[in-house]
Amino acid sequence: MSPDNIEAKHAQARFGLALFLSVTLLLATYSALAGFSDALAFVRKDDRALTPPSGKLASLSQLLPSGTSYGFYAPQVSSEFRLRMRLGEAATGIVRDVKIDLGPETSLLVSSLSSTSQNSEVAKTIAASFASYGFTRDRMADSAEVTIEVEIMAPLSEATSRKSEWVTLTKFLFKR
Amino acid sequence: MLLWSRDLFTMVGTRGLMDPNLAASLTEVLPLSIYNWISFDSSKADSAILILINSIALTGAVLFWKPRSVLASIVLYLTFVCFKHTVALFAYGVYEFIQLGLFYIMVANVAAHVFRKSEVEALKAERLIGWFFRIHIAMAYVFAGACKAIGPQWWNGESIWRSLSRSDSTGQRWFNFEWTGQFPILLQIIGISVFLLELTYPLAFIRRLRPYVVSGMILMHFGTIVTQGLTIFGITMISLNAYFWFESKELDSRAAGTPDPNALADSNTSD
Repeated sequence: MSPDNIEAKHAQARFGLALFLSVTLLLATYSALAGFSDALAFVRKDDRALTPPSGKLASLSQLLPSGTSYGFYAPQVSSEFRLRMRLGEAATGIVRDVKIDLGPETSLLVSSLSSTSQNSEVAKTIAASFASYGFTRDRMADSAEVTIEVEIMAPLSEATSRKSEWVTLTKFLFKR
Repeated sequence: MLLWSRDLFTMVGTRGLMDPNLAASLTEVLPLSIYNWISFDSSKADSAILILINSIALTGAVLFWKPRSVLASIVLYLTFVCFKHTVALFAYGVYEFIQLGLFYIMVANVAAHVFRKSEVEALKAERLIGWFFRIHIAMAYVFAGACKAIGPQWWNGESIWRSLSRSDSTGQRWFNFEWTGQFPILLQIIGISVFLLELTYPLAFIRRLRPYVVSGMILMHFGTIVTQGLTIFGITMISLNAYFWFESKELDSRAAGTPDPNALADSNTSD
């Protein structure tokens, strides 16, 4: 192959590479813009927000690192949520709290899952999943009570006079 | 990842905290999720997750040993995305940035392989990929900063106060920062500094300002490790910042065909 041909091949390959990366970047920018418009709609309390990519474009965005909105902790830091579970045995009347012993990283993931339970439908599904987890591990238990709590934090102006408190948001009871 | 897998099955799989059937009702099944091919309640799902997590650990180790391995970088990227799509409900911000970093490493290795016959061409391609990465991460920071700046809470210190004094339900934090509530002005200054740092991140493209901008960002991520215990997130972001910005000087000079002054100094010393 002549040096000119090699040069042309290299130029083509470089162009292909730049095109591929440009598509990735464009998709990523659009997803980020959709996230920004979502945050803006939240602040302005209206429903108009840019639609994130859908269909095949959404799938492509997920395969490339282009499907996210980067709005972490924005426009505000939301409250912490937690799920608590109590298993009960009707025959003996024993009720016990279930403590799920996790490492720090997995605890963080469970915490991020708990945050999604602000939506009542989602909350019920997550609570059902926790109950199923409890029933699988404790064969004697025949009821599971899953409580979703939210932390009500004191605003900064009252930081020195008021403490944060955990408030029950919803409670679900499941029978085996 | 190996450490993380200690309690992996407490969370995912057929006996996990989040039942796969129920998880599927909350999120769509993403393109590379194993649940596209394996039934939610099949025991094969557990085996597949175990294979995935071990493949990530193994290919990660191979890549650490041979950073230029094309095969390892492709397999690592695909297995990581596959894992991320499988446990989508649990995924949080750090997963996005790990995917971002692995993607650009994979593309850089593939390009180096394609241009293997010409070192100058390979370096040019690598430099091009480096620039795309920097634009990508700068865009991410700008949007992160803009999303913070549009609400009042990052301006008045409320967000920093909330992030520092939220209950440590995950057991991640090393220190208690509730005392910072006595210094609202300090919290306000930190809050504004955070989004200003993110919004002005593209200034890192100016070579003279780069050390200040990138060091500032690295310090900010170090701060999130110390104050909030976000260790994996902080380490990921610090690594991405350090790797893709501070490597560029050597790459630039090699691609331009001029010797790197540091390398020259090293060779003189060794002589």
